[in-house]
Amino acid sequence: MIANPRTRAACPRPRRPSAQRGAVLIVSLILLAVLTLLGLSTMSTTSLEEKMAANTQESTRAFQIAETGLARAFGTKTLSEVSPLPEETIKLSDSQRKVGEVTYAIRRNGEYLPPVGSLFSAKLFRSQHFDVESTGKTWSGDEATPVRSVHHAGAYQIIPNFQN
Amino acid sequence: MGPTSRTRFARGLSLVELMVALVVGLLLTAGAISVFLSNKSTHEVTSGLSRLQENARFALETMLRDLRMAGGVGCVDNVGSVSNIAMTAGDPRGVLWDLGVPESLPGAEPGVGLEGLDNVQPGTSLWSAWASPSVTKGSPEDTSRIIAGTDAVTVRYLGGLGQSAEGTVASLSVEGTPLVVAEGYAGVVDCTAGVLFKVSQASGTAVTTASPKYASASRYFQTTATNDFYPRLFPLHAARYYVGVGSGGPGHRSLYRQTLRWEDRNGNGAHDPGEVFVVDDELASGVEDMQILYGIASGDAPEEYVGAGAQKLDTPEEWRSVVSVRLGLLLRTVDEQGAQPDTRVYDVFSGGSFASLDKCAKGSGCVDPPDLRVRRRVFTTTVYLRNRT
Repeated sequence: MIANPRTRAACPRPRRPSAQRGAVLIVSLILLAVLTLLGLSTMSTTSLEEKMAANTQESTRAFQIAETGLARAFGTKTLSEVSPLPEETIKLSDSQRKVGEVTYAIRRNGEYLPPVGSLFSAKLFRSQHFDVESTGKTWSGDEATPVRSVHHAGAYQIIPNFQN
Repeated sequence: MGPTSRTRFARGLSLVELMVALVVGLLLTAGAISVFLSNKSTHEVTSGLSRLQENARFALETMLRDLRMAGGVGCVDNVGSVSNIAMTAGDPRGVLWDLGVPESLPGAEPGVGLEGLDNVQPGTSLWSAWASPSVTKGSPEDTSRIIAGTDAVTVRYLGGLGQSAEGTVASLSVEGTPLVVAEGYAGVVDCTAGVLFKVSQASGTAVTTASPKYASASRYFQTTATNDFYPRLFPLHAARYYVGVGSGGPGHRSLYRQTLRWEDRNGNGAHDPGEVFVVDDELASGVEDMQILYGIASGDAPEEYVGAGAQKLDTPEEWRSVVSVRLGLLLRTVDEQGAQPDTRVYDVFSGGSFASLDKCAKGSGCVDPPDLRVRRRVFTTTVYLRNRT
């Protein structure tokens, strides 16, 4: 802050105080800039974190919604007697807005001998297998770009061989 | 210059003024610096914790995805319906593929899809506790990095949706490009039974196995379409999770995953014999401890949670009855910061922290991590296993 004597001698009086104020201004501006940078970096980290957390939440929700579809499909009684096999889309909503939907479809996957090691005789019984595909969808913003979770699960029913 | 001008100069820089200016300036600077420092430490804490969160999220997501599928063998309902013809004595890849009923080792127990080890120690093997003694339990296995007192878990299943296949185990014809690689392990199942085998060649749409003994192993499953439904071929997924010394140095700990993986080590781009290796991948840094409990079924609901090796959980049959897994992870910020070391004891299942070990409830997930200048967080989750009957 102590000015160079030569400058002091050479400079006219009004410029000195303004030069001193300038130094304070520059120092505080630099400090402010550094703090701003720190703040900005924290902010960007935080907002990235927030996006990641939101994505995790959305994908977890989509996962659970797809599980709902599976549970619903397996809740269908006596699949072997159902024709055609169920295929359904269920909209899920909370009190305010639609939060997602689940679509599931049950398909036949053939008839086989009862599983090896099961107690059912291959002569009297056969097992009828089904595949369930359940797609859970959820969105927080645009409905056109949902988070999706596709689950596959199988089920079988042991049924008697009436023909034999 | 006259006296007037000298007075003018002196007035601008009197000693008192200079001192006052200095003090005010110093105060301001000190204030600014303290704001800067506190901002900086907040920033460090925040970014350290964010990284911890990311590590935890990644570790949990990866492990849960695998755990959930443990023991899955396509549309067959249990591993006992799968014949394992890949499992031979002396295979250096150990028992990562111990799934199904070992055909070549008469008397050996059927393998399991999920298998844990409690309180592992460095230098002791992570391989299956009960696999037939004639099976080489994996070599080389680097057990030196294992952290004492943590838990380890192995998961095996036939992964993905698979692809249609037709023929015999010795020579399968698949739909599209094979999902399996030469020297890798694969399972082919219809809904009655299945075979787990080692692939000797996979090119075009053909998959073959080198085991001549099973060249006509059609008795294991229906090798042709039944009413247009074909058997399906799946790659075998086998992974073992444990906590080990991290690559950051001796003080660092990470979650590791050990898998069988094809690696093109001779660089010719082809799947050559002997190019499937047991690889240890460092999954997430900052994982200090992992404790696992297993839910044993009684009726429909999990009755109780026990640790690996407990009396209720020390045979393959009991392992096959596990219906859920409770996973507790203790994570810490990777870099040390701050002045106070963290001396607390954590319960990785309740999430609580205690001043000393005896204050932590016995029999739960109490862990006493090293006293480092870090922040710690507990992550607990319970996952329901599919593929249980």
